[in-house]
Amino acid sequence: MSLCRLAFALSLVSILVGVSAQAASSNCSDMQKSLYAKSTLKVRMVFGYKDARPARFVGDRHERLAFIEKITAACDEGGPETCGFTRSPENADLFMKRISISGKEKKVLLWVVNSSVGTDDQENLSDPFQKWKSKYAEQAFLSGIKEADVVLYNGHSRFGGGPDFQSPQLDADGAVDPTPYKEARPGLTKMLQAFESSRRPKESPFKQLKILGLYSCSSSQHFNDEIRKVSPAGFVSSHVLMYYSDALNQSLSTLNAVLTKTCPKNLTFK
Amino acid sequence: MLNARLSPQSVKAVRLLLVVGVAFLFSTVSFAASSNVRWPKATWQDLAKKVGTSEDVRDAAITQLKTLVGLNSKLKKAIYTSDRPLALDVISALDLKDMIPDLLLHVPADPDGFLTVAVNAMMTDKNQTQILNSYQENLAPEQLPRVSPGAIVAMLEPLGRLAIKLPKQVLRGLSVHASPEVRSSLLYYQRMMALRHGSYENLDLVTNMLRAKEFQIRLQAVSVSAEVLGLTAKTKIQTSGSAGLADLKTVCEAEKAKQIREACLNFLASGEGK
Repeated sequence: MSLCRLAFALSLVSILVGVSAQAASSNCSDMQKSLYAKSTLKVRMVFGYKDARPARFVGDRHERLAFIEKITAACDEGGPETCGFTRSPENADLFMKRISISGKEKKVLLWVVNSSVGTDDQENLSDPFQKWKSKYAEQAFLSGIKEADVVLYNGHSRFGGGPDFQSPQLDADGAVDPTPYKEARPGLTKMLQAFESSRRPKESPFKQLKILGLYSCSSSQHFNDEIRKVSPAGFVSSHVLMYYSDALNQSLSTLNAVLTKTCPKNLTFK
Repeated sequence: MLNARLSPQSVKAVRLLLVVGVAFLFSTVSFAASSNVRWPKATWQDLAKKVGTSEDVRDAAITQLKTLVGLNSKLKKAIYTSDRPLALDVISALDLKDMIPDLLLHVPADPDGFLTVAVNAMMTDKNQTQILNSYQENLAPEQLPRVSPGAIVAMLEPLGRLAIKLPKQVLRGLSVHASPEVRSSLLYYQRMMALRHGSYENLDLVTNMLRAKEFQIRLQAVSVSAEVLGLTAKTKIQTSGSAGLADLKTVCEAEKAKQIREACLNFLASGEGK
């Protein structure tokens, strides 16, 4: 390629990148207008069932504790805003904080829900409370799509069949069986149904859910196209496998962006 | 002090549960790789992230981690940095038991319980007494205020699984702990003691938690009580302090939110059916 052609190609790329960045920023600003229009921001942080099959360990209970530890810590001057939340005395999963956005006070209601009762998948399967806990976590996620402003999921992608809040389906060797997840895609189907039922075509695009974050492995590849067909919400996803502490940090980073009126990193629009 | 003798099988079961689990949170996606794979420029942190993937990659990463010079001292330092989750994964994946005494010192301040989970993963017949005694010392009433909820949650897991009977005074302290996560873990422990090990003591503490402020704790207490009730009715075991069916019905019917009331009554129905 001649230098002239290279220069032309580079300038074309830079124009395209610039246009795309501008569009994203304009979308983000539209989304923010809607996000901060009301006096209350509703945010859901839902941890899926984080089993480690074939090992029996389940980790979401401790991940939730790590998240709660951060959001309830005292705030440091100049530090992130993901701090200083207080817990509701009646609802162990509900946290509240007052913030100021453009000089106006807003109340942030943050639900932090996880899916497992204990850290042993085998024991959880025999516990009736586990069934309720899984259903409750799933409802927190799905109803969040209809009612909340921001919904963040931190869990397994289940080969594209997630989000998932239940003990996994296993094969004969005790590993997670991909077939039912790949074939029926149960989590995605429920998520799309929740989007469909909350759709109001005549309303502005950001009237309902403003941001959906799926902090699970390769969530971009697994879910992006399907979600884009039904929702204009800003979408944060991952192209790669996610280490659990990276997923936690990125969830906190998105929450911080929401609390400080900045555009979350990696937020994409339709 | 341990109040129960542990069988080697039960300790093995705990290890089986936990040893792979600390490297757990990658998805079920697997890499195509052979055990001969090496990553010449990888740091211990890069390798740590590979420990939780497919078996081949995990084995190769562990093999390479074992060749790194000065790894133990790096891991010790990393526990105080943002690399803490990676360090804990490596410690348990490499089964670095010589670090247990150091780790036990950090258990009380373990904010999310992951460090304690790493210790649990390295428990064997030989070191179980040291670990479980240390946990029981941490849970003593005079120590409890200095112990993080995350650590308490993680400590109660092996104590329940291995049928370690905790003194009433300790259980009472946990049953009124400010953290709902701690009280939920106590219910989990009490369920394990009653249903798995046939120990029906201190069920009055479960009954007390039927009056918790948080609906999640009330529901879990109803669920555990109903299971115990179902089992004792079937086996005709006499318990003291456990809630009767009428008590549980009263609790359920007092729930204001319809969904919670229904869930509560469902627990009663499933408990009776056991």
